[in-house]
Amino acid sequence: MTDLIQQIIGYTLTGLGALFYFYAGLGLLRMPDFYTKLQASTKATTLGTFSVVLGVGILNPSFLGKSLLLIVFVALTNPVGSSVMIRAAYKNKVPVCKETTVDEIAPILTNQESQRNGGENHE
Amino acid sequence: MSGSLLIDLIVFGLTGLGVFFSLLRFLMGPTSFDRLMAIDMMNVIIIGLISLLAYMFKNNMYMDIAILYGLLGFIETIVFARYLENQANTPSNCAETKSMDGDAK
Repeated sequence: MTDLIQQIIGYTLTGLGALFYFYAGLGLLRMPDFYTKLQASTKATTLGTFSVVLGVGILNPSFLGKSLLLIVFVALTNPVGSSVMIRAAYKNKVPVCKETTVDEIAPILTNQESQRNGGENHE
Repeated sequence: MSGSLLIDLIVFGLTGLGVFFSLLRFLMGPTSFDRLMAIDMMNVIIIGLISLLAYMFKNNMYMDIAILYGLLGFIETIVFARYLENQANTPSNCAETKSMDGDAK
């Protein structure tokens, strides 16, 4: 009985993770813009990896420690990689799509640059 | 057993479709950042695939391989992103230093 419950939970988690991998690929293929594509691919693959690895750890409990370690590792590294990529793309002025109207980081960057230039001029 | 085989087939098929879509984006990406993003997504999906292989083959070593693969993929993403970012920054920095020198003179 416990084997059956364990298999049901494990296969459900694994199938959900595979479905999120599929959705991430679909978003990567169909989104109009670099930034929306990066958001779709990174968020969906992070959740899919959590789900698949946790499902494998529940299906075979001798993998559970390493699967939890892998979940912590993916949760630490994947957002860092996506933020580094999006900063590089923004500094390279990768174009946004037509529907994007709000650019919230541009006034902050110009404020920082003007403050830096003002400080240098005062010195 | 046939039910679990069907579930395994569905899981591997959906994951393989994800890898195939990211490979398509890698082949037809307009900018180099799209290709970098596709490689990063492929790395993260392959971590899940290797842990699925650990369950299929009932071998504990595959989880170590998945952890090591994730570490190398993360380093690869960081290195390529920093390389492209610095490639964009270098000419503008040179222009700024030149203009500042001109102002000083």
